[in-house]
Amino acid sequence: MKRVRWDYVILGTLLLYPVLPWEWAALLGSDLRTIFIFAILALGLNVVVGYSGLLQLGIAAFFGIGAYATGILTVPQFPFQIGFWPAVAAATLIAGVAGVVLAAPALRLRGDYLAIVTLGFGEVVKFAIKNLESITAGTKSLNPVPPPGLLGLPVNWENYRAFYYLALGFLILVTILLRNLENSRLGRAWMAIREDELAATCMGTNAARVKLSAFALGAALAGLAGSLYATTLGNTGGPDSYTFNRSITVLCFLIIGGMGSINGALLGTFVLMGYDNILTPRLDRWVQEAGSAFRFTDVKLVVFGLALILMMRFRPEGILPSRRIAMELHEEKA
Amino acid sequence: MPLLEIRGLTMRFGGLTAVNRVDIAVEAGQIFSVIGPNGAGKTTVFNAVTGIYEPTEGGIFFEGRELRRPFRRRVAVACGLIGLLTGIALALFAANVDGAWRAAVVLNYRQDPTDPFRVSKAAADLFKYLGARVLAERDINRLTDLEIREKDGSWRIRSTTNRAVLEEYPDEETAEQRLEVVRAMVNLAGSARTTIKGDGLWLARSGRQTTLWSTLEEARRHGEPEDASVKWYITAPPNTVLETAESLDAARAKLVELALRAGKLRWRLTCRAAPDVLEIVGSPDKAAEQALALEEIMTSGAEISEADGKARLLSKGDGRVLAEFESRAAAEERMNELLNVGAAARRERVIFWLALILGAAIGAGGAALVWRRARRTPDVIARSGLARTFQNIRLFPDMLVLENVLMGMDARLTTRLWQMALRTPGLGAEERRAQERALEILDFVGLRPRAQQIAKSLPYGDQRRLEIARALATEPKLLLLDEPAAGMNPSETSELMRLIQRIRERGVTVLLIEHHMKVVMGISDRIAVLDYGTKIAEGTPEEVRANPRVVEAYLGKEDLG
Repeated sequence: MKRVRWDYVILGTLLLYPVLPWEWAALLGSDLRTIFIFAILALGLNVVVGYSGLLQLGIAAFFGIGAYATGILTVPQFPFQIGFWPAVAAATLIAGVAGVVLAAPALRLRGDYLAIVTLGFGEVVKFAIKNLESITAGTKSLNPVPPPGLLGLPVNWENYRAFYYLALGFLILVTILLRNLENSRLGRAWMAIREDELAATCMGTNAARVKLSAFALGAALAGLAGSLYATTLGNTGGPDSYTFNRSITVLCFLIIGGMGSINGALLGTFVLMGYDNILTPRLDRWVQEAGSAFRFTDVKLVVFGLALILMMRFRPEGILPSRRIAMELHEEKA
Repeated sequence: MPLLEIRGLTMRFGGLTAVNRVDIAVEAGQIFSVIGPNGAGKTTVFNAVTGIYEPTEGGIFFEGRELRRPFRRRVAVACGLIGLLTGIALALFAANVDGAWRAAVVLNYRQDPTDPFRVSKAAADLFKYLGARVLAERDINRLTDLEIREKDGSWRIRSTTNRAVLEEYPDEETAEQRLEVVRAMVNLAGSARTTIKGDGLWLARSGRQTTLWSTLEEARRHGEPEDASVKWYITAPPNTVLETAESLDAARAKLVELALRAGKLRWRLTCRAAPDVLEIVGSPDKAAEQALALEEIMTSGAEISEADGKARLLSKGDGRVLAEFESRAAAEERMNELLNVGAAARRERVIFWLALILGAAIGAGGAALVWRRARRTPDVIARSGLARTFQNIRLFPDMLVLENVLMGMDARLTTRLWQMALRTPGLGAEERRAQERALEILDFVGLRPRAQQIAKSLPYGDQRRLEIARALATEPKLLLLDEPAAGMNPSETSELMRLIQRIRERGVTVLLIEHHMKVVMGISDRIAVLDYGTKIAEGTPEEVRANPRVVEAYLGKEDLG
């Protein structure tokens, strides 16, 4: 029997989803749109943590840099106002450059030490956003971030569908790009550095350059996600959207879904964000209608933590581990 | 000329000397073995040769030259760039990023046309900002409220702050209706975000609430006038249109004028060097004039003249009146105060430039230093034609056998990032060639059937051979094998000996560390013996075997007593 190509089935479903005319479909659609954006963020982190094995705990900082770069370049209170498309490109680039600037001196560190540096950077960015009042509007957020123009086409951005397709389009693009890279020389070098940096260096691979590329790409993708996030939201979201909490949550997506695997990162994002953004509000409403004061939202972190513990105990490689790890398990059984 | 020449190599770790003045010369085409008891410093020599350690003393020459990363123009450019970045970062810290941004971007881009400081050259302003420039910043007086007062039969909307009459109506009812609208407009003008651009329409808004009307029809539904030529609306939440205007500028002017008359808007004059407000002025024209006057006193001082019981500060240049005071003492005090601020501003500027220059020097110097110290790294040496294996096998355990070998070729592949990202046809061709070559090498060591297995699932002996295959994939001239026979059984060992000989037949020189005497004596052309970090013997296998110092090192001194 021919195997079902689940990736095409899911892609098709997502592409056709906005056809559904009902009210609830629109609500769910705008939730999905946010999930797409966070999936890009998770894929970016996956390059750094999953492929290259560099523990990066400050991905939210680059997410924030992307969002604020877009904000600064498009909001009316500043003279730039370059519009969405150039701003997305610029935000991606700026976040990537920020990644290089952070990583270049920090790359001599490994493991925990690098994690501390990135964590510190995350805090620095958060406080910078908070305190640079004239640039970032402090704890308020920069707004309004205008919606994109599409070659002068009259697009109704109030409707969720436009942003849905925009986010989905970018997600597909990023997925294809990463899939190509994963199967290329660079992807191989990332994994080799993760496995044994010294051995890779002794084979003539410039480890610094490889790690830098992973860091920069991860940061750039986070910046892209941030840019889309700000545009969808209509504002830059304030410094509290880019805290350590967010970095860890995204890391959880990867751990649950499966480190170093694109499908795993996507699945992890969909499962956890789906639980958080789609399931709990609906469960809450349902419970409330039944007359109970209990709220699932309140125990969100408990559920996250429990999921992580169970995952670590029973399936440490994640739900959809990378091809390699899967093959390895297969090998042991054989 | 020997292929590899180690001259007087000494390695010290803290106070411990691991290798002491070792000389080894490996001729091309040889199989050269380094033997010695455990802890003799053999692996340390290997690590020094492959660039993992920097030699404490002595030199290592490969094909007659030391292997170091060459200095190229790119390195200098990169160091300069890093220096520039560090300098700018440091200077921004010194100059207060936030304030600089406000001076260069925000203040230059004011939406109301009455703003006196609309200069387009942001960069030029950034530098002026570092000096004694006085900045006028619009301030919002939040206490302003409006009231209705009746006088002479007409009802007037006036400001409670300065009692200025804003609008007048013949009956109370109209005035009442109008009050909320005017109040909203006064508040809008004070808000930092007064207008936003829609699709051909500019709509005013306030606070966090955003409403964007992309078509005129949509806007009309919110109670618009019929005339479609009116394109400018001043609106307030919740989406009520307050006023219409012929043009954007007219709409803005209307708002600003109302707010000005209501006493809502003020201009704060501040100097960067002194964050305290120097003066507060009620109109933009006055603010511009006053700012220039203050700047002049701060930078060049003024002459004091007394007349009609008043003391005036006069410009030193053309004698214009810059400020007026009740007494000479007050004038002097104010002038000194401003001169101090001016001096502080100059100090700030000096600090800025110092930070920039110092930062650039530190950044560029540091980058150059780091580059210099990292010139001799394993990757540079590997790319020059030296490959090695490790005593404790260091494969990429979770990667495929084939991928392990492909990693050995990594530095020889030339695809660029964009080619990889877009999967261009050129990339596919190169990948295929590399795979063919990798399979050929695997065939050579006898691992071809296992190409698609995970590396760590291989048995021990195969892992050793895979490591050799990976090293061969780098196309080395010299192969360094660190105890390749460790943990192998006799049949694997003799297979390994054949493999090493076949490697030599391929034209690769082999430098070997080995304990297994059968291997060493069986295949070596030359042997060097290390003991306690010094070379105690060198020669052909026969010579070494007969050397009493070697026997002593391995078996201990014979007690003749």
